[in-house]
This record gives sequence, structure tokens and C-alpha cells, in this order.
Amino acid sequence: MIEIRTHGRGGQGSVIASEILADAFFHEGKFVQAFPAFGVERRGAPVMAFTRVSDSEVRERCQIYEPDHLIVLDPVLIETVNITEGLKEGGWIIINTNKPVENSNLTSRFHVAIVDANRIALDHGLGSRSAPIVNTSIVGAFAGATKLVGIEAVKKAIDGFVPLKKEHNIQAAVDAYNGVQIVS
Amino acid sequence: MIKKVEFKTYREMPIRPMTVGDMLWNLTGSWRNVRPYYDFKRSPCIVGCPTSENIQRYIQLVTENRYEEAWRTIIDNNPMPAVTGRVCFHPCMSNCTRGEYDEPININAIERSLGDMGLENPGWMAKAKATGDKKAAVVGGGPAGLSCAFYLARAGYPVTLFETDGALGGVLRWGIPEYRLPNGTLDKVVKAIIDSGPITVKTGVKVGRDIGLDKLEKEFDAVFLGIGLARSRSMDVDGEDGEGVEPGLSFLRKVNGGEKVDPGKKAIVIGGGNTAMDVARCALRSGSDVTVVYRRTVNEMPAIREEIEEAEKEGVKFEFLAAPKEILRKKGKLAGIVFQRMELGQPDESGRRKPVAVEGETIRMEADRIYSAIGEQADLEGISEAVETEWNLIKADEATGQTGRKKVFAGGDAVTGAASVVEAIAAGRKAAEKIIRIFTGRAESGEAEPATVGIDDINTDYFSKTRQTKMPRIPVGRAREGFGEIHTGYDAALLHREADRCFSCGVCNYCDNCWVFCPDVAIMRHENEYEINYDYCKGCLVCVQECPRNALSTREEGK
Amino acid sequence: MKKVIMGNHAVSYGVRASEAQVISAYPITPQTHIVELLSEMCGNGEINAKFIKVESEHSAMAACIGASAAGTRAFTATSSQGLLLMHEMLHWAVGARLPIVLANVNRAVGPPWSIWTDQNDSLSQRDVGWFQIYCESNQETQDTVPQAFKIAEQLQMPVMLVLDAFFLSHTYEIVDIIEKEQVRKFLPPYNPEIKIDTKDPHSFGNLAGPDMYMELRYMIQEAMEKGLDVIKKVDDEFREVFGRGYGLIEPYRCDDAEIILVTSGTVASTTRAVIDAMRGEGVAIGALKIRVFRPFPFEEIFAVLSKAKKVAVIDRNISFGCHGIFFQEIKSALYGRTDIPVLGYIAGLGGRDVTPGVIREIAENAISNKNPERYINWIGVKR
Repeated sequence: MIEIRTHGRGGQGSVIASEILADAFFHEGKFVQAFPAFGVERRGAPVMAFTRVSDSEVRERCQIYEPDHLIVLDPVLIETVNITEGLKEGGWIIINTNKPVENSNLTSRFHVAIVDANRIALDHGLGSRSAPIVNTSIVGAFAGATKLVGIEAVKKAIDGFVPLKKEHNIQAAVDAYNGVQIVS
Repeated sequence: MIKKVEFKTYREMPIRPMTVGDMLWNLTGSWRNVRPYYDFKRSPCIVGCPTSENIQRYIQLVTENRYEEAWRTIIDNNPMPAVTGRVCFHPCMSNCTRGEYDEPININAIERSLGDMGLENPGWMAKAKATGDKKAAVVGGGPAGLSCAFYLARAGYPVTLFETDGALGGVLRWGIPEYRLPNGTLDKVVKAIIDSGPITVKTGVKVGRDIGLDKLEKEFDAVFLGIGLARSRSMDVDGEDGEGVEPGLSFLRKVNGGEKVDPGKKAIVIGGGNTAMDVARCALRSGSDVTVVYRRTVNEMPAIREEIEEAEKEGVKFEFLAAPKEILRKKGKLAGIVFQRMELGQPDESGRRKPVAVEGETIRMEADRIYSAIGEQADLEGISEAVETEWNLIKADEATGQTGRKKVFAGGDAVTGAASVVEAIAAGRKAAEKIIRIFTGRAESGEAEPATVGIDDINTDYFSKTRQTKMPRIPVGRAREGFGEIHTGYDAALLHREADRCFSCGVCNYCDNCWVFCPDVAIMRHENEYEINYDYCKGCLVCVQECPRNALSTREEGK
Repeated sequence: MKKVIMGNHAVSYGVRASEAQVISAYPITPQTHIVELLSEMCGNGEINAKFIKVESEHSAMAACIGASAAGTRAFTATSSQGLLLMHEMLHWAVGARLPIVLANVNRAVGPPWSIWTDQNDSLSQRDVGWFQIYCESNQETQDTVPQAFKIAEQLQMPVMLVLDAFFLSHTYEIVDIIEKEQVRKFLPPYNPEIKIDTKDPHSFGNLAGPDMYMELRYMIQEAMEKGLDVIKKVDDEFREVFGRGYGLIEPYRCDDAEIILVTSGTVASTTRAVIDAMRGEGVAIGALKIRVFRPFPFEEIFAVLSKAKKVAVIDRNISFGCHGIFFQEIKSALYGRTDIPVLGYIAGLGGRDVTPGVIREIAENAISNKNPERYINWIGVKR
């Protein structure tokens, strides 16, 4: 079983990202589960969402405490939240940032990949400068870096999940898939 | 014998709790000690109305949008609602139960709306044909005479109507200003009445001078005298005769007839009745500064309250507790007037406190014109010789108008002294009814009057407090500049808003409360009627208690 | 067609496929998605139902009562305080024998305010006479809706299906979505013999004297008792059409188990993963999921548990002053079997996570615990 934890801020689309990711795995024949960290949060507050992927039925119906991989939608969270808590050694951390990651604490223990999802989102007209919608791009980057799920499945998931600007979102995911940089 | 559904086992029962039989086996009404029954009573507004218009009824018909029937209901007692809806002093409203709760129903305004609808729909007025073998003469084309002629003609008796003036209407025409009752409206009212049946009009004929009363008695089977009060009473003070002093009625007659008048820069009107108010407001409209001088206080003024308030709003000034003492003249020309200062003493026979002179105190006022409006009197030329009179008024029975002479009847101001339009209408109608009874030989119906409902009989829990709907009007500033009608009448929404306020005292208006509240479902609702099923009425009297308007009464069983 | 959807929407799809005719509800977290999607479906014609907006849950149930009494298929959904506000009307629905289906998302009751899961809202309605079916997955939740209507309509009894807040309501899982064309083979149109009909007037819900009240109550109990067979039969019929079934209870590796963990809702699901792990370590352990709580399947439960040496009940609820509510019922089911100790564990109240670690802790405690049965074991309380 693969367990993935997504960190973001309320309003960034972290929950939808976890669901698109689950749906993408589903299209490849996996058993999946996705859910938010249950709570009442306002826009801008740190939030989490989870995705489970398995070859057999997922029976665990509880939160994820020891994820295999992380998705981070806002690099500021690296400084403010202990994002690697419980993260298994050697797991992937996919970070939305336009700056290089020099934190050796991350790069030595985990695989780190970065993508400028803000720019990609804005290039495709997703969201505004103040609030780009990056969830589809980051899922593309996850697929590109980890190769755990294929881009075709991601495209299909976005097509099913996103109500508006489907094509723009799919293209953003493809750009992120191709543009993600592996740091370690 | 009692037959009720019983279950031997639960398998016979429906799984849902529901009725499977009825309660017809159990006539619980036999338990009753007191019996409620529908008992419609008299609304106090009807009692207050001198001509007993069925006000509750026509307001209810308005709420049901049955305007023509509402109008007909009025016409049964008053042939000119478009007039009374404008000029009546509406004692109905003083009697209105709702007045003791929040504000009385604006009955006057509702009546006017219906009256105007009647004028707009001439087809509503049924046309009577001459069918009777007797005929009547009516003397005087004012409210009393028009009313008497209308009801006689409606019963099929040909009427010849004599009028001194060139046009019908009497005091309505020459005494009431245009801004209260436009001549155009009056013309329509008069035409509707004359056209309603076999009425022949002879204008310019003064009975008693041009034709003798004895001649009418010979030619007709009945004669009604509705001659009104056409003469102003004199003030009886020094200097009264001469230029600058004029009876108020004469001034009003000129104004209403469209003659040019000049009330000077400063006019004084003496008196406290409606004539005084009409004169003052007409003078004001003709450009004069007007002061009304009255010998008592505002509380004793006989004029309609609204008229006093309107006059005041328009800028008429008032001086109270002053009686004319001497009119000053310089070389015959009017120079001013001296008033005796008065104070209120003991109540007189009318119940009002009598003014008493304050020794040595006088007031002097400047004036270009002085109008006396201290009262009117009847012109009994050629009449007083024929019928008995008292205090210069005709003596007649209050209920029937019968005078000392068998065929002669009288009513209106010439009998009562200065009273009201509606009282004159009532007198004319009652005389007509008496005459018809004589013509037909039928006796008066001896029906007992139902009890009258008061505020204590109303279940006010069912009514929230609301304001009276005022009739729309033109602003005071514009009103005082001309003779256009001040009040413009309700539209349909306002009419309904006001009609819906009516408590319908003592008379069922199908509100369903009894039907809803009856715990025994013993009240059945039919179209425009409820029926109590006494087989099941246990006499709990919830219906009586919850009737908002006291349309039910109770009676002990076995009594 | 399989789709990844949230548990709340699984309920909505179930209602759509069941062709409910009247839906009346008042929004409350974490239930709102259910009726939100249903109102959309009503709006766009996916479902031919009348959606009645109301001002409270009490009114929502009242509207369903009226609709059901008039002979239509009625549905509502609620949670926590909303269910409690419905309480009076829940009794009414039973007494009037109306086959209404209600989805309750298990949410803890305040104060303190909580939007997270536990079972005290639905279990506090234990004695009103509603069928109660606890679901553990989105698929089961969806499938239970048409089953609930069929059970309800056959017995003229209301049915409540229950799902955990967030762990199901907000969790996306793969669901094989059922469609009305398939469901019609399983669930016939609702056309009751007795309904409000102006052509055949009766008064409903009126007074019954002491000579009749007990009989009407007896019939409700009779319907409940018949209910166990009806549920099984309906489940079998569902399996015939859809290939899936859920039973009254679901034993897992109980045949040779010395100790059995009794669970319900999503905890049952997580527990199975723990059972497999501990079996791998050589522990003779099994799990029993209680799906149908009312009517309570005493015999079926006894048949499973009477073979064990020890029973541990995990309650995500508490009857203050007594015990966990499932615990009491299990004890009652094992009445007379003093040789089988039953241990009660309170866990996961107010949404506290019941992880595999927590379940393992309970299992290990139960294996070694020598405490008398009266003792309540609170798991994870900071004392």
C-alpha cells in the first residue's frame, strides 16, 4: 500500500489534489481512498489531505500517520509545519516552489522534486496572481517525478473531477509532468 | 342501539393507527346543557346612522368584491351615497366599535367609493315604472325632497317635484362649496335619482307663493314638504344693515353659482357651524384674510370636526368667546366691529355650556366684510298658514313626517331646524315609507330590533391594532388656492385595506373560527352558512367564545 | 459504473437509483453533501422527486411523514443535533408505520461542539423503533439505500442507515454506482394499501384507548422480529441482481477464534486489517461486525460468539452511568454463558482516530485482562 499526504493551505485545492491523485490510480486499476484531515479550517490555514493506494481493498479507515510520500503545495509550510513527521525514509517530497531546495535535512533522507506550479497554473489561466490554482499541476509533477502513476491516468482523472477549464488543467498537469525537476 | 367497531384480535386491526369506523353510534350531543346558535346582531354603526344604512353588510360585500350589491345595500336607505360619502358628519364612525380599540373604520370614505362607483355605473340603478294608482307631490329639491321622491317613485308612485330654484339640489347646491361637493358630482346624483322612476320636475315654482298648498292637496294623494332653511338669521346688532355686511348663505350662493365675489382684504365670519366654516374657507379661497368669531369655544362648535381642522390648516383664524355687539360705521361705510367678551356658564338645554357676557370687556376688530352665519331659518311663506308651525319650524311626527293635516308630510331642516344632510335623507325616506303604507293599506312590520354589539362583545384577540386608512387628498397649500375637490377618494387597494379592518360586529362573515375550533367537529360549513349538528354539539361553547364578532348566542336547554 | 466518490454522495446515488419521490431535509455538517447533490438531481431532472425545503429537522421528518402517509417514497438525511431535534417525529414515523428512509451521518453530540464522528446520536434513538443499519464502506452505504426502502416498504417500518462522519461521509472511495434501471428489478414501485386518499377518508394518528394501544405496539415489535428474516431475504435478492450482499452481521476469521472483537461502522473495517496482522503472529483472534443493530440479531450473534473463549466489544459510544451500548446488547445476547467473559472498550469518541494501533491495544488488553466485566475500559483517555 502507498500512503500519500498532501500539505497545503485552505483554498489551494489540497483536498481536490488528493482526490484527483486517487482517481488517477483508480484508472490504473488500483484500490484507492482519499480524504481530508477532518476539521474546520479557514482560507489560508495549513491543511492536509490523504490518499491511499493499494493492490487490494483498502480496509484502513483512519488517518495516515506514516506516509510514503508527500506533496507540498506551499513551500512556506516547510518552515512552519513539521511536514516530514512520520514520512518514511526514501519517500518522495514534491514541492511547489520557484526556488532551489537547499535544506539538506530533506534532500539527504528523502527524494525531493520541485516544480513551479504557480507559474504553470498562471500560464494556463488557472486562478489569479494572488491565488493560483495549483492542484492539477502538482499532481502532474507527482506523476512525472515518481512515475508511480501515468500521465494518461492523471489526465483522465482531471477530466472527471474538474468542473471547469478541463483542457487548461490537463495541459498544466502535462507541463508539470514534463517540467518537474528532481533534486535528490 | 349503540354499534361500535371492536377488535377481537390485533390481526383485525389496521397496522396504521387510523379510523376504520365512525362515531355515529355515539350521539354525544345529548350531554349538552347549553345550546349555541347563530344569532346575528346589530352593528353599532348601523344604529349610529340616522338613515340606518346597513354598513356592516356593505363593507362585507366590499371585502368580497361584490361592489354592485354593496351599492344596492346603501341605496335601500340612502339614494345619494356619493353626496353623503363627501359631506356626512358620519355619526356611524363615532359609534364604530373599532374606535374603542384603535381607530374607527373610515365608513364615510368607503361609502364615497361605492357612491362614486354607482355614478360610474348608471346601469346599477334599477328603473321603476309608474304602477301605483296614487300620486304624490314633493316640495323642495334638497336632500329631504329628493329622498322622499326617490322612494315613492321606486315603489311605483308618480311624483311631481317642485323646486323654487332653477336647479335641484337645495342646500347641496347653494350651501356646500365645490371643494367639498363638486357640482358635477351633484348633477350626476340628481340625474340618477330623477331618472330612476316616474318623477316629474317643476323648477322655478315656489309652493306657497306660485301655487297654493291647498291646491296640491286637492290634486295629489299626498304632499311632502322638504323646504329646508333658506334664510339666514339676523344678528340683531346695531349697524347690521348696510354695505359690507352680508348673510353667509347669500355669499355661499354666489360662490357656488359661479358669481364673482369680493370678500375684501379682511373678512370676519360670525358663527360656529358648518355654514361658518364654508363661508370662511370660500372667502379665504377668494383672497381674503379670514377670522371666524364664535361666542363659545372650539369644543362647542357644531361644525364637523374635520371642517374646523381643515379651515385651521388652510389658514383661517379663530377668535373664541366673543359675541357681536356693535358694527361700526363711518359715514355709512363699514369701519369695524365690537365684540362682547364671553365666558362659559352653566350648560343649556342642548347640553353645551352657555356663553355669558363678561361685564365691561369688549374687543374691537377691523373688517372690510362681515358675514353672519349664526343660523338659518325656514321660509314659510304660504306654508305657515296651512300647517301648524312652532318656533318658525313645521310641526311633524319625527318617525313618519305626518303633519296635522292628513295628506301633508314634512321632513328635513324645516322640521328639525339646522341638522344634517343624512337626517334630511332619513326623514324623506321615512315619510315616503309612511305614505306608501297609507297608499297600500299595509301596516308597519312589527319586527323586534336585534341587540346591538359593543366592544365588550368583540373578541379583540383576533385583531391586531391598525391605523385607519385616510382618504388621499391634495396638499393644503394647493387646496386653499382654488375650489377643486380636496379629497380624491380611495383606490381599490385602499378601499380593501379599510374594509378589511371591519370587525363585522354581531354578524357572521364566514371567518371559519367556529368551524375550526369546534372540538366535536359538530359545525358543518355550507356555502355562506354554518350549521350546528346538535347530535354532537356538547355545548362547550368554544364556538361562542372564539367567534371574534359575537354572531353566536346561547340558550339553556329545556328553557 | 465504478467511480471514486465520497460517502455522502454514495447515499445520494443510492437514493437516486431508488427513485425516491419526496426528499425533505435541513442541512447540517457533515451530512449536507447528501441533500445538496439530491437537490441538484431534483433540479436537473436526474430524479423525479419533490424536494421540500424546511426550517428544521423536525419539520423535515414531519414533511417525510406527510409524504409517506400519502403513499410516496420519502427520504431524509441528517446528523447529530439534527437527529435529536427529529426525535419526536421519529416516534411518530414508527407509530404511524411509515416506511421512511433516513441516512444519519454519525456525529458526536454537543456541547462541546464537535463535528467529528461517534455513535451517540443514532444510538440515543435506539428505542424509538427505527431499523438501524450501520455501514462501513461507501459501496455498502450506497447499496443499503435501496435495501432500506425495500425492507421499510415490506414491513411498513422506517429505516435508518448510519455512516461515520468523515471516515465515510467525506472519504472518497471506489463505488460501483447503481442505476434505477437495475434497481427496478429489485425494488418495485411503492404503492401501499393504506394511504391518505380523499376518496377513502380516514383519520390517521388519532387516539387509541388502552384497549388498542398495546396491540398496535405489539404489531411494531412483530414487524421488528420479522425484520431479521426480511433483511436477510432482501440482502439475498440484492445479491442476485448486483452480486453484493452484507448480511445482518459479518464474522471475520471467527471459526477457530478464541477471542473475538465486536465492532461496527468503519472500525470494523480497520479491525480486519489488525486481525490479519495478529493472525500472522499466531494469535487465534477474529472479529464480528454488527451491521444491523435494530432489530438486534441475537441468535446470529450468539451462534458466532458462543464458540469463543472471550469477547471484547469496541464501542464508539457511551451510555453514561452504564456501559458502551453495543456491549450491553452483546452481554444480553450471551446471557447464561458465564463462561465467556465480555469486555467493554470505549474508544474513538468525538472523532478520535481508531487506528490499527488502538485496535491492537484493545485486543492485547482483552487477551490479558482479568478485570470483572463491569469494568469499562476507556482507551486513550489522558488521565
